[in-house]
Amino acid sequence: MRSCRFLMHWTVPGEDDEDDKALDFYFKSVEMRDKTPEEILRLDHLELLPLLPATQGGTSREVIELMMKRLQASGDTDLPYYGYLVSGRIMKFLGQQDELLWLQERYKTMDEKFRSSPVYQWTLDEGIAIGEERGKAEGIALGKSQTQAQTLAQMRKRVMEIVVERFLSLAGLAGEIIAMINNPDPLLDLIVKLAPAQSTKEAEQILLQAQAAG
Amino acid sequence: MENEKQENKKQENKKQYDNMMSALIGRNPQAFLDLLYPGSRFVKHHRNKLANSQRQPDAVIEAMRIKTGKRFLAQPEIQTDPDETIAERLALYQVLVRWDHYKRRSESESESKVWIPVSSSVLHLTKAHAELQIPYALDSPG
Repeated sequence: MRSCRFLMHWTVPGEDDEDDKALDFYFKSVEMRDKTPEEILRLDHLELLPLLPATQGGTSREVIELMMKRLQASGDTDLPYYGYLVSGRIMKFLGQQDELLWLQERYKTMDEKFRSSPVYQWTLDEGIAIGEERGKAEGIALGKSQTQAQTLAQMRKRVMEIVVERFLSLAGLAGEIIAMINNPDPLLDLIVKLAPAQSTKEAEQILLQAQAAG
Repeated sequence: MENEKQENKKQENKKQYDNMMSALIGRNPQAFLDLLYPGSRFVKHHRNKLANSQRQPDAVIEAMRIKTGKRFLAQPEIQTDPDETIAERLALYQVLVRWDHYKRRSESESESKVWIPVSSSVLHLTKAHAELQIPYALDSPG
């Protein structure tokens, strides 16, 4: 699999004509368009499948259908949605209007649960989701967002109660992390995992995992 | 006013993509290690909100090289659009992540002080910025 190592080379004017070295910084740079769908499939990770549309020929209907089939079969609610979003984003970037329309048509038939996703409004703004559904979606989103805000507040409160009661030194970290989580599922997951945690170290890992999972 | 609104919306949407990518890495860090750091194994997550800074990389993952057992912090950044500041941003994260880890270790009674190696990487979903080339040279005035 191809990747490049980049060098950022900082210099400052030297005493003579030549510059003095100040800092050399290396980093890896990988472009998904340099990869084939097969390379990603070979790695055999479900969480990499939403990146398939960004690979060479990844916006072909064959690849999109394959990706969606596998993601939907996983039973996960977020991953197929991510796959659709990345597909739309890449098609927009490549100026593939016909494919974008095809994707939107496919999207139209997708399960209703996508429409209730908190990121649905964003996909409307991005022009990936279907425009004619905008009015309806906005109405649904408003009602849902009010209910969801209350649920989130209650769940955050419960997480903080557990942390303050059992792992007080992690209260600051927990506060920062739960403030960034805007989805009830990871918060519920956090409550379930924190409650039986046996040590501060274990609780810290649980919080950091939740942070990374967003 | 309208431009400002559009810019805010653009930033908000960018944040959504960032959150989505962070969520993907958080769910399965090993997948991204296999993609960006083949031959390494996930050890644990580290906090990605860096102390004394508003900066927040997509993820900070402690990993181990399978062959040698050596540990390092992988700092992958997933870039949806080309960004001319990505090299500087990665350099900034590199120093902050390293510093943050060192300070935490120093404050802990049970852990010894250590400067952990950090490896920064960027995964471009569309394409890298045109000016990103080897070597990336920056001359600063004296």
